[in-house]
Amino acid sequence: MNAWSESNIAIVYFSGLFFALMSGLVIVFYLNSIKEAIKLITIKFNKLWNSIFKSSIVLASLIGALSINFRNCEGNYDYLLKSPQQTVIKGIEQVSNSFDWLTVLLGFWFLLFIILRLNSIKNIENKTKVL
Amino acid sequence: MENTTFIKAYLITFIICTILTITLILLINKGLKKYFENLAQDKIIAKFFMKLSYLIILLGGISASLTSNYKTQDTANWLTLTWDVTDHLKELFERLFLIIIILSIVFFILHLWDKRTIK
Repeated sequence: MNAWSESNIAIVYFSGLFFALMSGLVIVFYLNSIKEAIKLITIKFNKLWNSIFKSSIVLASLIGALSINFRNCEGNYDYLLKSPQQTVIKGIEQVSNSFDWLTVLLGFWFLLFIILRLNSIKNIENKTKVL
Repeated sequence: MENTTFIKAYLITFIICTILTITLILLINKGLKKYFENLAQDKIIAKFFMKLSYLIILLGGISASLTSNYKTQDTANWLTLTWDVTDHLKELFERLFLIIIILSIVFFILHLWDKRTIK
């Protein structure tokens, strides 16, 4: 491959960001039918939980992609101009890191919602015992 | 070796990794469904938890499938390419193993906790 210019690197960088953002939005759309589930799990403030959950997914996808630095330790990007392969690998790394952040975040929400659900089951059972 | 050889090897390994991840999801699908229906005591909530766990496994698997460190220098040959491909696969297996172990520990703790709360 021939050497690349700054604009090529910028295209790879912004494509990585765009793809990461789109994957976050696709996950939100995939989980769009969860309003009812969140309402049942949280009982109170379900709209707040829902909006925080969805916005955190989009934010995590962006943070993951943005945390990949295209500059080396000295703050230069010359090595990318010489090697298009490394530029493409950096772009792929952006998407991969974004998915890593999403995995950790969804794991956190998964745990939080399960604990909330078990607590609400316990509360319901306690109430029925009192009655 | 030509650049296209590396790209082909990378893409084929990526597709294999994605297929392996989806196969794993399909394998544990039935068990997860029963577990969540039992734990959440509601079909809508169980479906939500299932969707979340699918996403966790799928994103973890694809994230590992994307990471690669193929050596494309002039000294690269079919043997180094084979090692790069196996490294790529190893990355996926390590990630899936980690996710499954963490999920199993979480399910185990939740199962114990759930028993206590029901009592």
